[in-house]
Amino acid sequence: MKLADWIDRLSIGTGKAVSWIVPVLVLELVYDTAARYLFNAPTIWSYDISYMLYGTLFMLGAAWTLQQEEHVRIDIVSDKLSPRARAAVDALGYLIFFFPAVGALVAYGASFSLESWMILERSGQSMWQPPIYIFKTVLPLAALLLFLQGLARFCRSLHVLWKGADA
Amino acid sequence: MSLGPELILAVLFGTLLAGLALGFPVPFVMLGSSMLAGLLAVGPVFFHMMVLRVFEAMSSYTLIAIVLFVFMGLMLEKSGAAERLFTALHILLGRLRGGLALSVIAVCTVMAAATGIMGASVIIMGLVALPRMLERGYDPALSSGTICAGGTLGILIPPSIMLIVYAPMAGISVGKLFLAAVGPGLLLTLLYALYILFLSRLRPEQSPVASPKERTLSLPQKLWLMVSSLLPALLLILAVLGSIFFGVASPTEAAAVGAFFSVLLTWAYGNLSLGVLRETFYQTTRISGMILLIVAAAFVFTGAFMMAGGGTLVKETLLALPMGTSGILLVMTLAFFLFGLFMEWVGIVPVLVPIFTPVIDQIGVDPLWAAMLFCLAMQTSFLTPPMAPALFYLKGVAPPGIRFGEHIAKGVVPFIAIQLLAVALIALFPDLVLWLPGAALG
Repeated sequence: MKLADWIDRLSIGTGKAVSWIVPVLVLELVYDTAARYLFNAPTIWSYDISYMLYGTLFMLGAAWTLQQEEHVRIDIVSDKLSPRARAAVDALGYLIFFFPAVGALVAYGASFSLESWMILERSGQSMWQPPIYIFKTVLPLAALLLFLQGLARFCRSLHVLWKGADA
Repeated sequence: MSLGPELILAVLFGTLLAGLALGFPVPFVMLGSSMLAGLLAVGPVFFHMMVLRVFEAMSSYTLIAIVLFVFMGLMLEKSGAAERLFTALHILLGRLRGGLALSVIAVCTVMAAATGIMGASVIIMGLVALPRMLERGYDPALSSGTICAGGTLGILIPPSIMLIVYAPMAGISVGKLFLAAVGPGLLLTLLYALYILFLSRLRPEQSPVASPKERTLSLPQKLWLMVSSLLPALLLILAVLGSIFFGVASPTEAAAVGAFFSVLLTWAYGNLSLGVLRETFYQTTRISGMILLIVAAAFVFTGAFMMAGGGTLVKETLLALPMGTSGILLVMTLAFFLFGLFMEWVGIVPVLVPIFTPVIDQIGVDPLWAAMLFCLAMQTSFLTPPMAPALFYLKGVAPPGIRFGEHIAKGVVPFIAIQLLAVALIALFPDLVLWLPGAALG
């Protein structure tokens, strides 16, 4: 379980690191709001910076949510199963739902961001037009982090399945 | 690929329901079943749609408000504002029969107008109010029911994160939807309060008044208690909601300012420390990841649904129902309720709203009115097991003597009836929803 523990630490570390985006996002938006309404001098960068911070925060934080098992699930059936049966169901879920979809997000997300890097694409959402390729890279990175965390959970489920709950 | 849309949609919803029933996390079930159905419908083009839709969710300016309101809710939960307010009201209303239960409803309403989440009020009231109610001899079922019902006001009364997710999916502005939710939210508060007053006359033994030794404060003390507990919360509400309602600031900007002031309020009440702040940042990240990953996955799910021709199919099926406009509306409201029995709003709104919005346009019903019917139906189902988040939160923090079935589930039954009454009132009198947005925006 060395690998799974290492992945856990990676997800937790990334999650805690991106958590510090929260105060930056709040202060940056407060600054822009004050500049706009009090001094009538809105910033040109706040719009793009805001959604980039927000998108980075929740995408890179999602693996931590998975590590903590805090993603919403309906546990009416699974609560009644034995630990072994639940591990089997979980493992199956990872094979059917998780790995294909999140794997596709990694692969197609990578080519999506690569295309953006090739033309050094800029955002068309505001007058500021900042580079968008770095932000687009967050998508495949976050998907990769999720994929790894899913792998860790999958391995643990297999472990329970083979050895029983207390192993 | 010559599969008909019916078959592909059967795959989409079949795998979705199977995955959810087995207890696999909602966002991944959504992505997985979308991928299966999407590939069957259009082949590899699906992957481009998937990436684009996820990126769309990542770069939404409106949805930033979710992160900010989650932070604000968590911060206010730790600020001690709700405890103070409850203590103040509980002393002020000590002489009134049912006063404690009314205090709970009042605090929940204020908290609902200050934050956008449901868990916070239920947990705080479960920890602070429930022990005091039981101590004074309140009926355990009445006490638990009041707290659960009051707590669910948080997802309806603006600023509600459920409405922030709802609005863009229905093509409505968040500010307008917030305005529409004020009437139904206050209607529920009023009905709850009337019920408690009525019950305390009918069965006085269930809600005793405070003993004389509990009422020792002088009038100036009472006044100061009221001002110091209520005023900051009201100012915060006024600043956040006021600036949204009057179109001064976007919901995202108002949420940021509110988040900032919630930190100041926590500091003013002496509950701020670096540890508290850091823990709140951490919680915000994990909860945002939880909510917004589902929103992103739901964007993909809706995309797959549309690619498979589901939009047209649902529209034609619903429009072909032989029951007229109100019948179609009833079927849709029922769908929200039924989904709500098994899922939290965050899994329901992003799936059903985009599917139903074209139908609502077609039958010529006001989307704000329909939105409130749907939201109230969902809110009712959140009090109804098997999936009843408010009840579970309360069970988590309630004293050990409080039992789930006998006290909590039994206690919410009258409040479910009140909720249904509110749905009926809103269905009969659309002006309860539409008056305020009409008056404010013309």
